[in-house]
Amino acid sequence: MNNAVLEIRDIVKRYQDQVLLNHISFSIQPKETICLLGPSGGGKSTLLRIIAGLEPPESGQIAWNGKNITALPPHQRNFGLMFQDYALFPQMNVKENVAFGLHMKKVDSAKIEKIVSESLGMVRMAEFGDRRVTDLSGGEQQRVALARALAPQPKLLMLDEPLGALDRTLRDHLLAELRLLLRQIDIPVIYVTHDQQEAFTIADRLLILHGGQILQSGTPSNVYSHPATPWLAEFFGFDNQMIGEVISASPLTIKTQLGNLRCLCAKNKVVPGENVILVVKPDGARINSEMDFPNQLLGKVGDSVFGGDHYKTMIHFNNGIDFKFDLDHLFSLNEEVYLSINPESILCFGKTQ
Amino acid sequence: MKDKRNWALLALPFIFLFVFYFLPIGNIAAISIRQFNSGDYSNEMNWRLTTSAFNFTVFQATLSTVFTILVGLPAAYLFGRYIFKGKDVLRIASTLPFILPTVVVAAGFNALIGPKGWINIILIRVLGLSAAPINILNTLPAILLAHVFYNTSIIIRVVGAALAQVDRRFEDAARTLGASSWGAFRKITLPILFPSIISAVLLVFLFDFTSFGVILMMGGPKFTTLEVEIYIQTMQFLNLPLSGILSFIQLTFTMLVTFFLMRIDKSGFSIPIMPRLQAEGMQRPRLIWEKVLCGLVTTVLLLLLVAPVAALVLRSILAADLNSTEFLGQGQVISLRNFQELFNNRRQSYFYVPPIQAIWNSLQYGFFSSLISLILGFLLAYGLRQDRKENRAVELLMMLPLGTSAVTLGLGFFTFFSQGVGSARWFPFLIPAAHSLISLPYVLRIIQPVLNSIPVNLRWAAGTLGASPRDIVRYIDLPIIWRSLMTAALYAFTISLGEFGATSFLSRPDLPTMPIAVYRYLNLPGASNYGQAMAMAVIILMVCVVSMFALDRLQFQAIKDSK
Repeated sequence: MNNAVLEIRDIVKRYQDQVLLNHISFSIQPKETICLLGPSGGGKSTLLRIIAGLEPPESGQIAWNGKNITALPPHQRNFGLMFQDYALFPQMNVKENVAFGLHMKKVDSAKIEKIVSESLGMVRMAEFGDRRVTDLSGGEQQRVALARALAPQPKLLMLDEPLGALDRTLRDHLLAELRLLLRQIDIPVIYVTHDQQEAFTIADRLLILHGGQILQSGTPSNVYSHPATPWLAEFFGFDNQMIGEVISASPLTIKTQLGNLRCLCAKNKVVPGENVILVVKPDGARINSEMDFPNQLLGKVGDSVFGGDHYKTMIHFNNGIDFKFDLDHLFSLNEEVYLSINPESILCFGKTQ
Repeated sequence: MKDKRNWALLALPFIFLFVFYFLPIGNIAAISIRQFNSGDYSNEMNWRLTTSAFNFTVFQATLSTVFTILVGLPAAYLFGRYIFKGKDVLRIASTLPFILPTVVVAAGFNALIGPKGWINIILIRVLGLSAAPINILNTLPAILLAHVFYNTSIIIRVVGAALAQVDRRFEDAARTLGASSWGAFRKITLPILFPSIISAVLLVFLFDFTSFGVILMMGGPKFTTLEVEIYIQTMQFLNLPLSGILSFIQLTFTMLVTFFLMRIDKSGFSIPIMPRLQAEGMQRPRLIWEKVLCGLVTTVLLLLLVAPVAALVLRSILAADLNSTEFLGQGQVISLRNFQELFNNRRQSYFYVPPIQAIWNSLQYGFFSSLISLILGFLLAYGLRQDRKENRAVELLMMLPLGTSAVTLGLGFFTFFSQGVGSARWFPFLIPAAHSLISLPYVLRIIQPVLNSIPVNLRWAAGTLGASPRDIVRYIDLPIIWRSLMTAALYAFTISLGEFGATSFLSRPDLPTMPIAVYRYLNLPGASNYGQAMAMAVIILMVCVVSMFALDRLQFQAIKDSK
């Protein structure tokens, strides 16, 4: 961690008495791509604007290579920022937009010409140089905005929901492209999104921002398999949640309304008698009538929705608990089934969360 | 830090407004209060003058408004609902009143119905009369006619535009639910239009109430409104205390109406009316009553809007002479003599400068006042850009000159800046200040929305790409708003060129503006003076028409830009 290029230290920002960023700290390694993931309105864009110097933080510091740059105005930072709605200058054509940053740096015009055509080539927009930006489609605008942000060779690239304004198909297509492109450039990247799929595709490291705080950070697979809080579990779509009471800490056994359930481990140290929240992952259930499996439960099949390689099936248990599981087969309505739940798929969160 | 910059931008406009608005207007208030307290005002003569001027002002404004509604509402209905032959011509013609200065309109009506006007010339020639048979000038109908000319367009614009915006499906729905076509209009459309009708009517009343040039030039000595009385008391009798009190009454009244207007405007224009393509709800007149209404309105509007202007232009180039016995076409040739006369200084006296001097003066005043109002408007728009609570108050403050009549403003300047010996000599230099104060609200309203419509993202993007705040103004803001800056400058220039009310207090006899010159020529006897008045009025007319087309093009381009 010592060779971090960008350090965000203890940033606080309030907006109309509401704490938007509550002592945020993290750092970025050279060439690292990090994703700030979190629901809309969580202060992600504000954080980007603070890093870019467009807004002052209330307290805290931004440091580049150990040097405090918190007070440096945006135009002297040389950080590229690509905006959600691209913010292309309407009075300039594609080329002029891309050349703007170079023009500001007083690069000589022959060199500008060269860099602009390279940048446009990189995003496969070489033919579009003389077009008006208002005549471009959403996807084309997105590429131009990216070329514009990259042309001045920024020390850091920030992307604020770069695919947010595009429709699903185009987004999937551009996402793959963007992933390749971000691997090619050798500068650190901060990518802001509310979309998990995007974040998983792009990120070397994921930071989950919610309620003004970074709830968890780590590689995408790590964060997804081991969400740190029930909120994070729900954020990743793990809706099957219930409360329980610890009976034994080793092996970890929890008393619930569905009976005693075995879990592999808890997120934090728990003691017998403690109340905990259990999250059951949807892919953790197998249809199984042999009684010697752990966590054997009897349920009644509810609504089933075809979901590609599985059926999202609602299972009604006794006591009014309804869980959704991804099952391999289609079962008929009201059919009674025995499910066994993999202890690894049960996440246990103690009270201290 | 940002706050400091904000106030620095607003400082200059504030100082300007303080010196050229609050001090002069405050001075009027001070004069009238002093006068009132001294008890001097209790003399009967003053009371009678005041009440009669006030009563007549209200009377003529009410009457004018009623006639304007009678002509304007059917026209607005037609414009908002139908496509018909001549609509485009009428659309252009209906913008004339917005840009024509009162002196031009007065000259136009003079050329049409005045004793030396076309109707009288033709009647004299045809009927062989010895004197002009129609003496409508200097009567109440002349005033009403000019006011209807001026304000019909307001009704057409405000109400017609609102009507065109009303979704036709509302009425269609009402029809399917059993309403007659009149019933659907009355129960559905009319209530939606009501706020815009009210605000149009209030606006018309305000304009009629503060009308100055029209009353002075078309009503003659018999009719005095508050505005005219202020002018007479100041310029003829130097009775400043009485002018002050009249002004004070005027100001209170106009502020009240303006206040109501602003309140209605705010709630009224925010009705959720689905914006749809303008042409979608339009139809051609099919039924007989539709066709009759269409023909009638078209004829009336053409006569009302086009005839005076055409009469003026023709009168300026046809050297028609009342005393000649020849009829049109016999010896009556098109001549530019009237225009040539403008370059001669026949009288050689000190006060009668060559008319070309008036043109030069007007151009200079116009240049400087549009420059001043542009700078102030730009600073204001920038200073008010950040969204904050105080902005609303500042905006209201800057709109105050809108609710102040030009004559009151002129009087304020006249009384406040006349302290000190020989100060009157400097009055002409105050003219650009007065003019820019009058055009500032319009300039602000043109620049501000465009500047505010620039997404903040654009500036942020420029900032992260290395643009300093000054670069952002230069490369982002200015290229986007320059058209509206041009529009605003042209608008201010046109206002200045035609401004009469305030100028009439401030212009020096040897430094007249074009409108002042027209007024003076119209009041002097003699065919040559009359011809020169016509020629000068035509020059103003031409400048106004050219700038109208330029404004139209600029706005069209600006709309295209914003898409």
